[in-house]
Amino acid sequence: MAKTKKKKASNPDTVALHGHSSDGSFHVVGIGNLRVVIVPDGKFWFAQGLEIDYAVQGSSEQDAKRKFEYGLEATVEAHLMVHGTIEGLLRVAPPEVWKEFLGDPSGKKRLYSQLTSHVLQSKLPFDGIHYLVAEVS
Amino acid sequence: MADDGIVPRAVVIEVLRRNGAEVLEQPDKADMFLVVKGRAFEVIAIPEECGRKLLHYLSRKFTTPIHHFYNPLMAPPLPGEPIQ
Repeated sequence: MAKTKKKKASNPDTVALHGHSSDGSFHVVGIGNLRVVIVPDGKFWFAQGLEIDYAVQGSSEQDAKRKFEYGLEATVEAHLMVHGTIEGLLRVAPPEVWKEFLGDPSGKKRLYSQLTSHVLQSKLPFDGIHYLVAEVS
Repeated sequence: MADDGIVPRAVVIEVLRRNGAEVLEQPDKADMFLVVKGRAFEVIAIPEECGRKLLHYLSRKFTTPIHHFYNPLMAPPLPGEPIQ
């Protein structure tokens, strides 16, 4: 009987996109197919992103997922507010982390995607600065 | 420190600060902190009890020696803090 080779399912590429309005006040950020490995750590759960080196600890698997989602979104927004881009966030986890987490038999591998919109305050939250000059008496 | 390698949040934040990181609590979300050191810049959950993997992650991301979390007296003093 002829043997058929099972074609290995290839990992979909991880993508990140960032678009913004011309005045820089409105941003859309998409992260697609980010591999996240969730492993038990004593009484906690730990979620580690691979293509983006970001991680959180949760009290349960669900809590780790929720904190990962919230934390990554908040980190994206913080990068946009400070740098105007997400380039600083796009750092791959180091090889030893890939080895540790992909080699952990108790690890649960998940693909994570998110699309977020961010409205950044482009103006000061007050009318302006009034400078007072003290007069010398 | 307990035998299970768990370190309380207060110690973790203190050690990160002593190693030059800025740690700011996020007002709108419990357990979430903005941690900044050099190019590392992220909003991360620092729970009341921090396990081994989280400590290793923080150590790697914010260039803080892992043993400082387990022995905070080894961490450097804060700027301006008198050395006894």
